[in-house]
Amino acid sequence: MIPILLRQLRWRIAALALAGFLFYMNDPALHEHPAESPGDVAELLEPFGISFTIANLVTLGMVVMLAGFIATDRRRGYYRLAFSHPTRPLAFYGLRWVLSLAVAMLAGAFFWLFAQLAAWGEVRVGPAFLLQALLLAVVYGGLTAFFSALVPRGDGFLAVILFFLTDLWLSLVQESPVLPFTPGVRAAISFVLPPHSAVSDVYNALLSGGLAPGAAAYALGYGLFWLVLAGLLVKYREWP
Amino acid sequence: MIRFTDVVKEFAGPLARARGGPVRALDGVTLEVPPGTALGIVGPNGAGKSTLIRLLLGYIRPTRGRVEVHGMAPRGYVETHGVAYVSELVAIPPSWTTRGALDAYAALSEVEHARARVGEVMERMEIAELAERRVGYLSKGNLQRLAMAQALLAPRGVMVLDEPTSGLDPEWIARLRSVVAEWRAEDPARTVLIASHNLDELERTADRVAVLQGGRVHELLDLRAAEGVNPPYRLEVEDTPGAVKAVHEIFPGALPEEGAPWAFRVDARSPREVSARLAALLARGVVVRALAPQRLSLEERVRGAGR
Repeated sequence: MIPILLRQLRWRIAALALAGFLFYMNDPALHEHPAESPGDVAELLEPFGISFTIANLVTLGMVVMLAGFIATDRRRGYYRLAFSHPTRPLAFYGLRWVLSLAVAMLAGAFFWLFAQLAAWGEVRVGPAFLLQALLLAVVYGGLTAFFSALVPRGDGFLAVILFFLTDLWLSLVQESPVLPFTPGVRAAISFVLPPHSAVSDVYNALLSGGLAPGAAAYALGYGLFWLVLAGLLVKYREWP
Repeated sequence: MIRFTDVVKEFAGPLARARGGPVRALDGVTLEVPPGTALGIVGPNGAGKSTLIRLLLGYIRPTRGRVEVHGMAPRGYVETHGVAYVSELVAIPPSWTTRGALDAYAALSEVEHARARVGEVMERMEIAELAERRVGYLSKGNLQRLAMAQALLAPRGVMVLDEPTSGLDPEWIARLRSVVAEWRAEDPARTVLIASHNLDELERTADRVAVLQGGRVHELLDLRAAEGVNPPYRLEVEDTPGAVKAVHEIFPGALPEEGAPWAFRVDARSPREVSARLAALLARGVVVRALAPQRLSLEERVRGAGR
């Protein structure tokens, strides 16, 4: 089944590769060197640059790989013939989700190695920094799966909107202490939105050579919560 | 054994409630399809045929009542044994190729020697030359043959066909009939359920036909049972002197057909009696053109159901 799924996903994988290339080109520090530009901008690149670029790439990768994966089957009726064969829908979509995570993380790992070698000619940022990407992949993979099981279309779009809304909300909270919300409402909104702060905490802990297990577990739990809800919807919701 | 016991299915989403209440698609359906038999489902649009099939595949659950396939809940049965299914609207991703689609379905079924089996079913349904063609470019008839091919990929105990002849030309309608007959012959315990508007086709394929109307089983017609003890016969004779008188004497109660004075509807208690009376008629010098039992077509029986 896995080779067949990968074959079906080949255009999405190509889109992810293109996204990786654009991410690479978007950051001059990754590809401009002393011979090409005054001052070695690559030296300005910190682990932050690599780590967050990879995290964004993997997050986008999850959305690209998963967009519509349940919703389209439901809306267009592809499930009818597929699930007349001895297959559990939950196992089928579960495999597809895990495969998407693997592809997205592989893309992230490739970028992690290639970007450092291109920028510095050596590996300065350890593989532990991929944890941040993994957490965001689970968070947005869980959210996309939930939306895909719930709505007929626009699941990936909703996940992307949520990503930017969360960043916007966090910047508002940090920069505008006079937001028209009580601290309780602020906390509730921050709790419901994807845990970008927790992922940042994990990054900061990695930077200082430690680990933030609480923050990592929270982010992981957030993603798994939506993933389990998606699973329940697949299992118990009637097909159209 | 497929068993529907007092099955009620209501669709009651928020929109249905806003429109004034749930929609009752099935209203107390009780049906049994014993192993080795083929049940046809007929009925006007909205009678509940598709709902019945979706319940059988476990895509929806009954609001009340029980659906069982070989003693199991439908979804459990399908997930462990699979069902040879052809849906009314054949939906396969248009970017897949014919072979790619069959490869995917074979993988879902964990078919052994999948490559060879895919080749066999493509040959069987004569779509091998379309192997690399994208599904989106297939004609409706070819798409229907592809759907039938995927249904034949693995051995199954139950076949469910929802308007299987839709889009097929007359030659392929006849061949589909033989495909289904061969499939049944491979294992006499196999069960078939066919929903179709093509009554002529159902008459040739099904053993019994359930007439659905308004979500209820209006009538269950047994197509293989003898049609009454003494079916009427149609007798046609040559226009010779004394022929009409002889017919009336030998077949008391013979009714002339409207507009055909030399054709009669005659009754007899048994085929033996028909033979004896025919012999008497011939002995009287009457030239018989035709004598045949008058069976009602399925269409006539469906139209007359419940009257």
